[in-house]
Amino acid sequence: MNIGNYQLRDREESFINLNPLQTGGRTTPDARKAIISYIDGYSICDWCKGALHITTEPDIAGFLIDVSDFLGMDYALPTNGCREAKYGVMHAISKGGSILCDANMHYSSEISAERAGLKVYKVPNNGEPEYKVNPLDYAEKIEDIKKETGSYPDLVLLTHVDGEYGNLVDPKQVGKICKDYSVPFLLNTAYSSGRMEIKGKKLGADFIACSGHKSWASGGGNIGILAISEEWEEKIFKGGTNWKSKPIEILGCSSRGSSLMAMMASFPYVKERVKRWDEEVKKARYLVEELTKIDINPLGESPKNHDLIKIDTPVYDKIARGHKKKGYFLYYELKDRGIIGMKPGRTKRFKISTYGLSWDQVKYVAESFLEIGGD
Amino acid sequence: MEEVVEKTFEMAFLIEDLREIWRKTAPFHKLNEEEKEKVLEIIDGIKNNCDYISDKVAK
Repeated sequence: MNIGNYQLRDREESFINLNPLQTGGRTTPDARKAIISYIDGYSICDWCKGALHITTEPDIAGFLIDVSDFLGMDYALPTNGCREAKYGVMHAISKGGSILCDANMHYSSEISAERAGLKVYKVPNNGEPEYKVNPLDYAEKIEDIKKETGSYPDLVLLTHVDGEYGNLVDPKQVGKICKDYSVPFLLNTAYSSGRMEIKGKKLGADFIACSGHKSWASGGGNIGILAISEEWEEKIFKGGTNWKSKPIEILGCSSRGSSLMAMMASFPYVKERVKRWDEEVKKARYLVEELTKIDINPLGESPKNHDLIKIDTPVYDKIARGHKKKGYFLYYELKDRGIIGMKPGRTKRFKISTYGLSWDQVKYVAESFLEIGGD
Repeated sequence: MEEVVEKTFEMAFLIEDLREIWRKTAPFHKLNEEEKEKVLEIIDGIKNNCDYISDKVAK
């Protein structure tokens, strides 16, 4: 079925979708209803009070108070995505110095830093197979930067859960180090907030960047949240010289349509689902345990603490070499079984996610992978 | 809101509820008793709204 010249997308209705980029952003029925209603351009601005974040019809202002509370922070603004939240902080903080990040950082963190004029330094991971970042290494790296440049970094960034291995790093330890050195701390929660409970200030974070379309059951466009602690309000949420109500770092008003409504509509559901995070981790661990019955090796920390699973799969690579469809065989074998979300052609290493699947679906996925692998 | 408009949105929203059932039961859509009941309830709702709009437009 087509929509004009475009193919209808029915991946969520017709398949089990394992794409880690998409599982946490699957919308709720309420989000889709909000999107239908607020689909037109600037639909959210019917009752504009001068800026998006102070709008009360629909109640964006009230939503932002609730979100701040949910994240254990003091203030929040909607952004066009997580990267825009990170960039906003970096731009406001940058003195043209440096930023210390983790080696598993998302590319958009690095690009944002470059755009903000910050030199990027990285805390390394421990390499294959776990690729773990040790939060305590932040202290040593901060000292190294001081020795090299004469100054401490302008900002520290930690990727709470990275998008490559799904490793969860303890932000509390990084937060403490940042306090000791008086360096502000930005926590990138693109793969964590909205899935698991996060109380930012308790973790020592000054800023929290969130992705609505990745982890808050939101869609209809891009949407993010930037939440901050009180002491940074003046610097990060500063209004324009002639436009006091328009925060500079989000260019006055950020997401001006259905994606913000989708996030607001999904929020009650998100508040509940974070309470079931342990169950999501159990599903990921179950799948990994099942997959290792054949020649499949998990990458990233073990046991898993997140639904994003990266695996090294010699079993499928071996089959691909003798298969007429070559590397594409796995994609088609899975698709025939109603499973989708992996990049076509990949058989050596790939990423999947169990987030939001029922136990029946997770068990079926495990059985399918094993069956294709010849178990 | 005009009732025909309201009923149109109601139908669109019911379809989202139906879509959710297909999402939860993908890929085989083997429905349990509760899900079957819910699907039939949704379809009834859509039919009723359709009938209302048909009557209104035909007058």
